[in-house]
Order: sequence, then C-alpha cells, then structure tokens
Amino acid sequence: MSRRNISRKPKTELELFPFLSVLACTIGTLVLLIVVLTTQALKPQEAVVVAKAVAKTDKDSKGANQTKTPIYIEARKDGFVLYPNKKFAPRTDLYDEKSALRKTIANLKANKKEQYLILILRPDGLEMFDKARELVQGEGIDIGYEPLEYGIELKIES
Amino acid sequence: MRSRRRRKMPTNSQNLDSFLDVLTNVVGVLIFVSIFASLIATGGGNPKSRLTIQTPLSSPTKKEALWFEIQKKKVSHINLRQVREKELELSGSLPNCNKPAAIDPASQSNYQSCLLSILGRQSSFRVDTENYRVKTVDQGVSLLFEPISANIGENTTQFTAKDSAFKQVLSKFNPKEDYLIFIVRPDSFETFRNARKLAWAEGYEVGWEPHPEGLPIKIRTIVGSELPGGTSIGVQ
Repeated sequence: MSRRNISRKPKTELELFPFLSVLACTIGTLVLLIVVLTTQALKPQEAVVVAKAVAKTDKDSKGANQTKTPIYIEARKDGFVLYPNKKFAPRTDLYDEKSALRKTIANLKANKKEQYLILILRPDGLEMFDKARELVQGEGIDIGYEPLEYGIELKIES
Repeated sequence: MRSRRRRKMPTNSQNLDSFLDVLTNVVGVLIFVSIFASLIATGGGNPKSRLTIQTPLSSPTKKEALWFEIQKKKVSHINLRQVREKELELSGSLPNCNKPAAIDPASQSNYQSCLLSILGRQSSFRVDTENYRVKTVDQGVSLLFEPISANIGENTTQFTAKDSAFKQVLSKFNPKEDYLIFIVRPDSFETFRNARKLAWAEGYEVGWEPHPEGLPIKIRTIVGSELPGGTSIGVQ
C-alpha cells in the first residue's frame, strides 16, 4: 500500500498581532493626548486684577485707585465669594452680623481711610450686588465695581 | 485499495483587513483631533488666559454724561441730550401757574386746572431718537427708553471699525467736558470691556451701571431729577 504524500503548501498568512498591538498602543496614546489637551483648552480664563498704582500727582485720572487697598467681594446669584481666601458666603450672611461677610464689611468700615471695596459682579448676581452696594455705600465705604462673566476666574495680583 | 478520504478541516483563519482599515482610520482621525486640540490649547501662541482689569474706584464728576446701552453684545447710543432739548422746549411752552394767595374758589380752580394742564402735557411727552422711542412715565418723573427695533446698536467688530456710529459720537464730544455712562446688561460684559477700552483710548472717563435683562431703561426727567432718590453714576 503506497502512501500518498500530502503535499503541504507553505503558509502565506501574516501574523497581524504585533501590528494590532502597535495600533492599539497608538490609539491609547492619542486618546490620552487628546484628553490632556482638551483639559488644557477648557481651562477657565483667568482675570488678573492688578492693583494699578496711579501717580498721586495725576489729578485728571479720576476713577483709578491711588492710595487705598482694595478688598474684593464677588456677587453671584446664591451669595458672595470673599477674596483672597475664596470663602463662600450664602446670601443669608448679608443679614447676619456675625457672618464672615458682615465682618469683612465692618472691618472695611473701621479702615475706610486705607481700604475700599471692589465688588465683582457675575451675570446672575445683580440682586446680591445691589444689596451689597447699598449696604456698603450706606456705611460710607468707597466702592468700585467690575463685571466678570462666568468662565473667567478672578486672580488678584498687586 | 482503499482510498483515503482526506478530511477537510474547516479553515478558522479570519480576514482582518476590514478591522485593520477601521483601526488605521481611527488612528488617522485621532491624529487630526489631537492636532486640533493642541492648536486650541496653545491658542496659536497667544496667552488668552490673562485678562488684566484695572482696580476701579467710583468717584463723582462734574462732566456731562453721554449715555450708551450695551445689550445683546451691542452698543447703542441713548441720545439723552436730544431728549433734554425737547424737554426744555416743552417746559418753555408750558403755562406759568401762579399759586393764588387768597382762598378764592375761582382762583383755586384756575390754579388746579393749570397744574392739570402742565401734568397732562408732561405726561404726554414723546420723542423719538435714532435708537429709542422715549416717553414720560411715573407721572412725568421718568423717561422710558424703548428700543426702536431689536437690531439697534453695533457689536464689537462694528464699533471698533473706522467711522462707526460709536466712534462718531465720541469724536463729536470733548473728553475734557464729557464722560460716558454705559448701562450694561448681564449678557454683554465682554462687549462693555471692549467699548470701555476704546473710550479710554479716546481720552474719555467711563462710568457704568449694571441693569437687569428685559427691564426697560428709565432716566429721570428734568423735573424728576429735582426730586430726592435716584442713582447718580460716577466715573471709575
């Protein structure tokens, strides 16, 4: 009985697994890169408030701070943010004399010759802004105010 | 001789070409996205993350005010001076009501009808400016400014252009005698900063007042401004 030789053809199939691994790695790296870059891109804009010193001899420059130190309070819909420690004060603090907000205002009143208030207004904070301004002006404290939209972080430099 | 039957094994090799196509396409798309994201993140080299704001301090001024409203990111001129001229014309044509000294019923009646006539003419005061329809409200105490159309005003690109209406108003007046007041709606803070920057560059001092969305602008009439209350807007 003669045995037939089964002729075996050489395999031509390619092993693609290393290539797939490389591709998978590339995809992973790119996804990571995109996540990092998008986080960078979506970072909120910073508003740097600079205490710009104006020469005391410049009498024409009204409206610019010349000698006093500014204290910053941000007015938003649900309350206030006290700077520089960014402590949040709810709207009810306006009526509580022991609250941090009222203490800040009382402190401003005691030092009103050296300090004044800058109220930062957020788009939804008009009601709180009006109440705080009325209170502060009633105490005879100097005031300045500046509008700032959400997405812009307030950073204070002097 | 028994012929051997070769059993054909089912081939389990899969064609991965389509899968590879998909994967390589995904890689290509991701590369594009990452280039795009990196361009945004770097901002084309501009440090967009810093916006410097001068420390403001509100103070009164003796200068004359030029009024502007900033709403829907557009600046529109509230021509209060034109309205004041018409107000003065009206008050000049009003009868002079002299209060009778004696308690004479006939004189009292004349005085009352004279006052009613003044009030009626004050209350029916109407004037149209370029951007606003103006009328008196609150029994002649306030002027109500209603926009003539929804499209009044200029956006930042328009008012920074040469010969814009905003620049024309600024060039018409004198920074040493006049200052600008902006009534700013909550949706237009950035536009306000741009307009203020331009006004400062032209030498004008600027005051501003936030105003709630949807609430019309009211400014006291000449008669009303004599009454207590109201808000004065200084420069800062």
